[in-house]
Amino acid sequence: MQQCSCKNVHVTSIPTETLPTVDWEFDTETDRPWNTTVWDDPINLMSYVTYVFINYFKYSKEKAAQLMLLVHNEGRAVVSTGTREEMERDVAAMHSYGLWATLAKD
Amino acid sequence: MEIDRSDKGVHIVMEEIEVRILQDLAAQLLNLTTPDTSEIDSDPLAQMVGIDMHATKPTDPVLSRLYPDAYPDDPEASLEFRRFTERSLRDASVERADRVLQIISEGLELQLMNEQWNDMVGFLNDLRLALGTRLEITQSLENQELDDNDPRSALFDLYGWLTWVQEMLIEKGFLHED
Repeated sequence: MQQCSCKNVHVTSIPTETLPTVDWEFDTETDRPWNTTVWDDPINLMSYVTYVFINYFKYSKEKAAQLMLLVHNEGRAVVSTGTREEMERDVAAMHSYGLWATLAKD
Repeated sequence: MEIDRSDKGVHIVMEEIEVRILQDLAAQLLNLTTPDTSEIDSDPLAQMVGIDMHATKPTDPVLSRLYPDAYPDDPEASLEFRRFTERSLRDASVERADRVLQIISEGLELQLMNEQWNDMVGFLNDLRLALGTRLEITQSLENQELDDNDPRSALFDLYGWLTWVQEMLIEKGFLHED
Protein backbone atom coordinates (compact mmCIF):
# COMPACT_ATOMS: atom_id res chain seq x y z
CA MET A 1 0.00 0.00 0.00
CA GLN A 2 1.44 3.35 -1.02
CA GLN A 3 1.58 5.89 1.71
CA CYS A 4 0.48 9.47 1.25
CA SER A 5 3.48 11.73 1.20
CA CYS A 6 2.89 15.36 1.97
CA LYS A 7 6.48 16.51 2.12
CA ASN A 8 6.32 18.19 -1.26
CA VAL A 9 3.41 20.41 -0.36
CA HIS A 10 4.44 23.71 1.13
CA VAL A 11 1.35 25.10 2.76
CA THR A 12 3.08 28.29 3.73
CA SER A 13 3.87 29.05 0.11
CA ILE A 14 0.20 29.35 -0.88
CA PRO A 15 -0.75 33.02 -0.93
CA THR A 16 -3.77 33.46 1.32
CA GLU A 17 -5.51 35.85 -1.08
CA THR A 18 -5.87 33.05 -3.63
CA LEU A 19 -7.64 30.68 -1.22
CA PRO A 20 -11.27 30.11 -2.13
CA THR A 21 -13.80 31.54 0.27
CA VAL A 22 -15.65 28.80 2.09
CA ASP A 23 -18.97 29.38 3.76
CA TRP A 24 -18.14 27.54 6.97
CA GLU A 25 -21.48 28.49 8.48
CA PHE A 26 -23.27 26.23 6.03
CA ASP A 27 -22.58 22.94 7.76
CA THR A 28 -22.04 23.84 11.38
CA GLU A 29 -25.57 22.95 12.47
CA THR A 30 -25.46 19.44 11.06
CA ASP A 31 -21.77 18.79 11.74
CA ARG A 32 -21.78 19.75 15.39
CA PRO A 33 -21.52 16.47 17.25
CA TRP A 34 -24.10 15.23 19.71
CA ASN A 35 -23.26 14.07 23.21
CA THR A 36 -24.66 11.43 25.49
CA THR A 37 -24.66 12.65 29.08
CA VAL A 38 -25.13 10.38 32.09
CA TRP A 39 -26.47 12.10 35.20
CA ASP A 40 -25.78 11.25 38.81
CA ASP A 41 -28.57 9.61 40.74
CA PRO A 42 -28.73 8.39 44.32
CA ILE A 43 -29.73 4.80 43.51
CA ASN A 44 -27.34 3.37 40.92
CA LEU A 45 -24.25 1.93 42.56
CA MET A 46 -20.83 3.26 41.59
CA SER A 47 -19.69 -0.28 40.80
CA TYR A 48 -22.78 -0.83 38.63
CA VAL A 49 -22.24 2.38 36.64
CA THR A 50 -18.61 1.34 36.05
CA TYR A 51 -19.78 -2.10 34.89
CA VAL A 52 -22.24 -0.50 32.43
CA PHE A 53 -19.54 1.73 30.90
CA ILE A 54 -17.23 -1.27 30.47
CA ASN A 55 -19.91 -3.63 29.23
CA TYR A 56 -21.68 -1.36 26.75
CA PHE A 57 -19.01 1.09 25.57
CA LYS A 58 -16.17 -1.44 25.96
CA TYR A 59 -14.18 1.23 27.79
CA SER A 60 -11.14 0.17 29.81
CA LYS A 61 -11.66 -0.34 33.53
CA GLU A 62 -9.66 2.86 34.15
CA LYS A 63 -11.66 5.02 31.74
CA ALA A 64 -14.96 3.60 32.98
CA ALA A 65 -14.03 4.29 36.62
CA GLN A 66 -12.90 7.81 35.69
CA LEU A 67 -16.22 8.56 33.96
CA MET A 68 -18.16 7.06 36.84
CA LEU A 69 -16.32 9.33 39.31
CA LEU A 70 -17.02 12.33 37.09
CA VAL A 71 -20.73 11.47 37.15
CA HIS A 72 -20.59 10.99 40.91
CA ASN A 73 -18.58 14.13 41.75
CA GLU A 74 -19.71 16.60 39.09
CA GLY A 75 -23.29 15.38 38.80
CA ARG A 76 -22.92 14.37 35.18
CA ALA A 77 -20.45 13.32 32.50
CA VAL A 78 -20.38 13.14 28.72
CA VAL A 79 -19.86 9.44 28.02
CA SER A 80 -20.00 9.36 24.23
CA THR A 81 -20.02 11.67 21.20
CA GLY A 82 -21.24 11.16 17.66
CA THR A 83 -24.15 11.65 15.31
CA ARG A 84 -27.66 12.18 16.61
CA GLU A 85 -28.65 8.64 15.58
CA GLU A 86 -25.65 7.13 17.36
CA MET A 87 -26.39 9.11 20.50
CA GLU A 88 -30.05 8.10 20.45
CA ARG A 89 -28.86 4.50 20.34
CA ASP A 90 -26.48 5.09 23.28
CA VAL A 91 -29.13 6.89 25.34
CA ALA A 92 -31.65 4.08 24.75
CA ALA A 93 -28.96 1.59 25.80
CA MET A 94 -28.20 3.57 28.96
CA HIS A 95 -31.94 3.61 29.76
CA SER A 96 -32.05 -0.16 29.27
CA TYR A 97 -29.40 -0.41 32.01
CA GLY A 98 -31.37 1.98 34.21
CA LEU A 99 -28.91 4.86 33.94
CA TRP A 100 -30.34 8.36 33.67
CA ALA A 101 -29.04 9.58 30.29
CA THR A 102 -29.89 12.38 27.87
CA LEU A 103 -28.56 13.61 24.54
CA ALA A 104 -27.84 17.13 23.34
CA LYS A 105 -25.80 18.98 20.79
CA ASP A 106 -22.28 19.83 21.87
CA MET B 1 -27.87 -15.26 51.00
CA GLU B 2 -24.27 -16.26 50.40
CA ILE B 3 -22.48 -14.96 47.34
CA ASP B 4 -19.01 -16.15 46.39
CA ARG B 5 -16.78 -16.19 43.38
CA SER B 6 -16.37 -19.61 41.83
CA ASP B 7 -14.53 -20.89 38.79
CA LYS B 8 -17.89 -21.09 37.04
CA GLY B 9 -18.93 -17.50 37.74
CA VAL B 10 -20.73 -16.60 40.93
CA HIS B 11 -21.96 -19.14 43.40
CA ILE B 12 -25.12 -18.23 45.33
CA VAL B 13 -26.86 -19.95 48.19
CA MET B 14 -30.33 -18.58 48.93
CA GLU B 15 -32.86 -19.18 51.63
CA GLU B 16 -36.44 -19.99 50.71
CA ILE B 17 -37.71 -16.74 52.16
CA GLU B 18 -35.26 -14.81 49.97
CA VAL B 19 -36.52 -16.59 46.85
CA ARG B 20 -40.10 -15.73 47.83
CA ILE B 21 -39.15 -12.08 48.38
CA LEU B 22 -37.51 -11.91 44.93
CA GLN B 23 -40.54 -13.62 43.34
CA ASP B 24 -42.89 -11.19 45.05
CA LEU B 25 -40.84 -8.16 44.00
CA ALA B 26 -40.61 -9.50 40.43
CA ALA B 27 -44.40 -9.76 40.30
CA GLN B 28 -44.74 -6.15 41.46
CA LEU B 29 -42.16 -5.00 38.94
CA LEU B 30 -43.90 -6.87 36.11
CA ASN B 31 -47.17 -5.29 37.17
CA LEU B 32 -45.58 -1.90 36.71
CA THR B 33 -43.49 -2.40 33.59
CA THR B 34 -45.58 -4.76 31.46
CA PRO B 35 -46.89 -2.65 28.57
CA ASP B 36 -50.60 -1.89 28.63
CA THR B 37 -51.84 -4.15 25.85
CA SER B 38 -55.28 -2.53 25.67
CA GLU B 39 -53.84 0.55 24.02
CA ILE B 40 -51.19 -1.07 21.90
CA ASP B 41 -50.87 0.08 18.37
CA SER B 42 -52.90 -2.26 16.20
CA ASP B 43 -50.22 -2.14 13.52
CA PRO B 44 -48.53 -5.56 13.87
CA LEU B 45 -45.32 -4.32 12.31
CA ALA B 46 -45.12 -1.46 14.82
CA GLN B 47 -45.66 -3.99 17.60
CA MET B 48 -42.98 -6.23 16.23
CA VAL B 49 -40.33 -3.53 16.15
CA GLY B 50 -41.36 -2.10 19.49
CA ILE B 51 -42.92 1.16 18.35
CA ASP B 52 -45.83 2.53 20.33
CA MET B 53 -47.29 5.67 18.79
CA HIS B 54 -49.62 6.09 21.77
CA ALA B 55 -46.82 6.28 24.34
CA THR B 56 -47.02 9.34 26.55
CA LYS B 57 -44.81 10.69 29.29
CA PRO B 58 -45.56 8.59 32.41
CA THR B 59 -47.05 10.25 35.47
CA ASP B 60 -45.81 7.57 37.88
CA PRO B 61 -42.39 8.71 39.23
CA VAL B 62 -41.05 5.14 39.05
CA LEU B 63 -41.86 4.88 35.34
CA SER B 64 -40.46 8.37 34.75
CA ARG B 65 -37.25 7.20 36.38
CA LEU B 66 -37.09 3.91 34.43
CA TYR B 67 -37.93 5.64 31.13
CA PRO B 68 -36.65 9.23 31.43
CA ASP B 69 -36.93 11.98 28.83
CA ALA B 70 -34.04 11.73 26.38
CA TYR B 71 -33.96 15.41 25.41
CA PRO B 72 -33.77 17.60 28.53
CA ASP B 73 -35.05 20.76 26.83
CA ASP B 74 -37.21 19.34 24.07
CA PRO B 75 -40.46 17.67 25.16
CA GLU B 76 -41.50 17.01 21.56
CA ALA B 77 -38.28 15.20 20.62
CA SER B 78 -38.45 13.35 23.96
CA LEU B 79 -41.94 12.12 23.17
CA GLU B 80 -40.92 10.92 19.74
CA PHE B 81 -37.89 9.14 21.23
CA ARG B 82 -40.21 7.55 23.80
CA ARG B 83 -42.55 6.26 21.10
CA PHE B 84 -39.67 4.53 19.39
CA THR B 85 -37.90 3.15 22.49
CA GLU B 86 -40.07 2.79 25.59
CA ARG B 87 -41.96 -0.26 24.43
CA SER B 88 -38.76 -2.14 23.59
CA LEU B 89 -37.25 -1.16 26.95
CA ARG B 90 -40.36 -2.40 28.76
CA ASP B 91 -40.38 -5.66 26.78
CA ALA B 92 -36.68 -6.23 27.54
CA SER B 93 -37.21 -5.57 31.25
CA VAL B 94 -40.21 -7.92 31.38
CA GLU B 95 -38.36 -10.68 29.54
CA ARG B 96 -35.39 -10.28 31.86
CA ALA B 97 -37.58 -10.52 34.96
CA ASP B 98 -39.16 -13.68 33.52
CA ARG B 99 -35.73 -15.20 32.91
CA VAL B 100 -34.65 -14.39 36.47
CA LEU B 101 -37.84 -15.98 37.84
CA GLN B 102 -36.90 -19.09 35.89
CA ILE B 103 -33.31 -19.03 37.21
CA ILE B 104 -34.30 -18.69 40.87
CA SER B 105 -36.92 -21.42 40.55
CA GLU B 106 -34.20 -23.95 39.77
CA GLY B 107 -32.98 -24.36 43.31
CA LEU B 108 -31.57 -22.60 46.33
CA GLU B 109 -28.01 -23.06 45.14
CA LEU B 110 -27.13 -21.36 41.88
CA GLN B 111 -24.16 -20.85 39.59
CA LEU B 112 -24.54 -17.61 37.67
CA MET B 113 -22.48 -17.17 34.53
CA ASN B 114 -22.37 -14.53 31.79
CA GLU B 115 -25.94 -13.87 30.60
CA GLN B 116 -27.53 -15.16 33.79
CA TRP B 117 -25.27 -12.91 35.83
CA ASN B 118 -26.13 -9.93 33.56
CA ASP B 119 -29.83 -10.71 33.93
CA MET B 120 -29.66 -10.94 37.71
CA VAL B 121 -27.66 -7.70 38.09
CA GLY B 122 -29.99 -5.84 35.69
CA PHE B 123 -33.10 -7.22 37.34
CA LEU B 124 -31.84 -6.14 40.77
CA ASN B 125 -31.16 -2.69 39.34
CA ASP B 126 -34.75 -2.41 38.10
CA LEU B 127 -35.99 -3.42 41.57
CA ARG B 128 -33.72 -0.93 43.31
CA LEU B 129 -34.72 1.89 40.95
CA ALA B 130 -38.41 1.14 41.50
CA LEU B 131 -38.18 0.75 45.28
CA GLY B 132 -35.65 3.56 45.72
CA THR B 133 -37.82 5.98 43.75
CA ARG B 134 -40.89 5.01 45.80
CA LEU B 135 -38.91 5.58 49.00
CA GLU B 136 -37.66 8.90 47.60
CA ILE B 137 -34.06 7.95 48.28
CA THR B 138 -32.20 11.19 47.78
CA GLN B 139 -28.85 10.57 49.42
CA SER B 140 -26.82 7.56 50.34
CA LEU B 141 -28.76 5.17 52.51
CA GLU B 142 -26.47 5.70 55.50
CA ASN B 143 -27.86 9.20 55.89
CA GLN B 144 -31.42 7.97 55.95
CA GLU B 145 -31.49 5.76 59.02
CA LEU B 146 -35.11 5.50 60.06
CA ASP B 147 -36.76 4.97 63.38
CA ASP B 148 -37.89 1.36 63.80
CA ASN B 149 -41.45 2.59 64.22
CA ASP B 150 -41.40 4.35 60.87
CA PRO B 151 -43.75 2.41 58.54
CA ARG B 152 -41.17 2.68 55.78
CA SER B 153 -38.41 1.06 57.76
CA ALA B 154 -39.15 -2.48 56.49
CA LEU B 155 -38.95 -1.24 52.91
CA PHE B 156 -35.68 0.54 53.66
CA ASP B 157 -34.32 -2.73 55.03
CA LEU B 158 -35.46 -4.48 51.86
CA TYR B 159 -33.81 -1.80 49.71
CA GLY B 160 -30.62 -2.19 51.74
CA TRP B 161 -30.68 -5.95 51.22
CA LEU B 162 -31.16 -5.60 47.43
CA THR B 163 -28.27 -3.12 47.39
CA TRP B 164 -26.05 -5.58 49.23
CA VAL B 165 -26.95 -8.45 46.88
CA GLN B 166 -26.29 -6.36 43.77
CA GLU B 167 -23.02 -4.99 45.16
CA MET B 168 -21.80 -8.48 46.04
CA LEU B 169 -22.74 -9.89 42.63
CA ILE B 170 -20.75 -7.15 40.92
CA GLU B 171 -17.80 -7.43 43.28
CA LYS B 172 -17.57 -11.23 43.00
CA GLY B 173 -18.56 -11.54 39.38
CA PHE B 174 -17.21 -8.56 37.54
CA LEU B 175 -14.87 -6.13 39.25
CA HIS B 176 -12.76 -8.77 40.97
CA GLU B 177 -9.01 -8.71 40.42
CA ASP B 178 -7.69 -11.89 38.86
